[in-house]
Amino acid sequence: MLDNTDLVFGPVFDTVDIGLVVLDADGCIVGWNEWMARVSLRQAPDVLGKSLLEVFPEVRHTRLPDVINDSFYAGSSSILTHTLNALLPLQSESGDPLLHNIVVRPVSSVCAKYCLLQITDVTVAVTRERVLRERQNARYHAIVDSAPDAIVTIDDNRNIQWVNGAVEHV
Amino acid sequence: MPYKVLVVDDSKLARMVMASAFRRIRPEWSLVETTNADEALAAVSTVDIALIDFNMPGTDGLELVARIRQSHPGMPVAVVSANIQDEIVGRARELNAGFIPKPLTDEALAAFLSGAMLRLKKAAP
Amino acid sequence: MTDDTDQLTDIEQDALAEIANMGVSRAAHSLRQMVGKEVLLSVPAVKIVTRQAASKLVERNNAKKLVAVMQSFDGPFAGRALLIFPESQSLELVRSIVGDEHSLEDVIDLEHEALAETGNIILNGCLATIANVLHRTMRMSLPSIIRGDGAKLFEVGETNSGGQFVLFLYIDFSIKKRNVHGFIALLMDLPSIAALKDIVNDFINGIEKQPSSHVG
Repeated sequence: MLDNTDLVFGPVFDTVDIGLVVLDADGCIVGWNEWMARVSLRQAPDVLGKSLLEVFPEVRHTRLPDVINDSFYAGSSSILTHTLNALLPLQSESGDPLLHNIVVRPVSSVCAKYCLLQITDVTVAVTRERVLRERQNARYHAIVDSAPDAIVTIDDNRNIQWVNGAVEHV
Repeated sequence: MPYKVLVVDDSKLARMVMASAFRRIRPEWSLVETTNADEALAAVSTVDIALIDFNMPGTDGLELVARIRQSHPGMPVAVVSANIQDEIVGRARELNAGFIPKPLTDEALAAFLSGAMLRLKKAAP
Repeated sequence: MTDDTDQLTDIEQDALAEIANMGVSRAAHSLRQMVGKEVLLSVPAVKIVTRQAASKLVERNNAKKLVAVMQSFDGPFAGRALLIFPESQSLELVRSIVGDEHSLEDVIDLEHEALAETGNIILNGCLATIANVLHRTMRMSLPSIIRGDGAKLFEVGETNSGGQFVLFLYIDFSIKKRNVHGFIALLMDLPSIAALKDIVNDFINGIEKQPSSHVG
């Protein structure tokens, strides 16, 4: 059974700021880096040799198992985003849920096929977009609410989306 | 006992794949090949079993099965499709039809045909 | 045997359409897991056209603002696969996948990721099925998103070696009763198209040949 030290890039593997999980052709975990240990609260010795489904049973109902199979049998590379999937139970240092994307790619060595999962934290990006949009809305409303003229926004289906205060005086 | 099977599929290749599978597992049976619902309905009374592609332009496979069921409530029928979704498999089941996934394998076809033969033998007077 | 590498015979067309339909059905199955409702995808037509012709075909109904998800592939034949939608249809598609309860603004925010993933599912479905049915292994890249008109997507007017021909597929989607139309284009050079045709013909001949006696 392999442990992290058997993997070629020991120190790099544990220093990168993304989660790296390596599965062998039986779907068993043969690589689990430091980042994954931190966000999953599962240390490498506890998970090595187990299947991903054993460690995270909730994954059974997601696209992940099919996508892992596809990487082995069809050589596909796939992306699973937090937008469209409920993925792994991971948390940041503060204990908040960690929003993440997963990229699944096949990796071959001379004698064996593996599957590499790369888990990236997108919590910051998602929060930033939300904050930017809220600020943009606040500025927009500040100008528009004080405008003397009536302003109305209409969507593609000709439905009135929003009106400002001046409309009431029309 | 050789049976007659109706194959409904707009793809010539798919019909070839089906015919090829039959040559391997039931060489003594005969096939009636049709390319759409109208041709199928015209031929259905001459056959014992029907295999119908789901994804066809115009009347789709499930609609065709429903129409066939009106005149042939007991005929062994299967929907053949790459579209393995609960709704489609479910609707086939509601119509008392089997479901055979594409790409077609000899095993899946043989399994359906065995069941069909049993039903036909039981129904025969 | 055919020498016209830039044309498909009827049976070749049929074979590719059938394989493509199996590929998109497989993708529909994956999409359904995310969407929670029935997803119908079909490929009504397949043809080989020049890049110039392809750039015009994707702009039908004068939709010049296009969005494409692109993945490159290689193996016995190599090239790039593009899943193309007019911009308005791409938003419609994303909205049908992420859910109606989101505002248009939310959908625009989510669009990039949702489209990349949806495109990845569909293109992988097709490429993996092609590889599977034709008994070949292939390598594929991750998706990237390109925006522009037909000429940009198909790099018309740029001199590059080969890459003249496009295997062009119309696709129809129906998700939650919304109909979206798009295209899948496989850009390959002549040697790759020839290789693909050879493999497809092997596949067709394999079906026609009687196997040696075998009891099922």
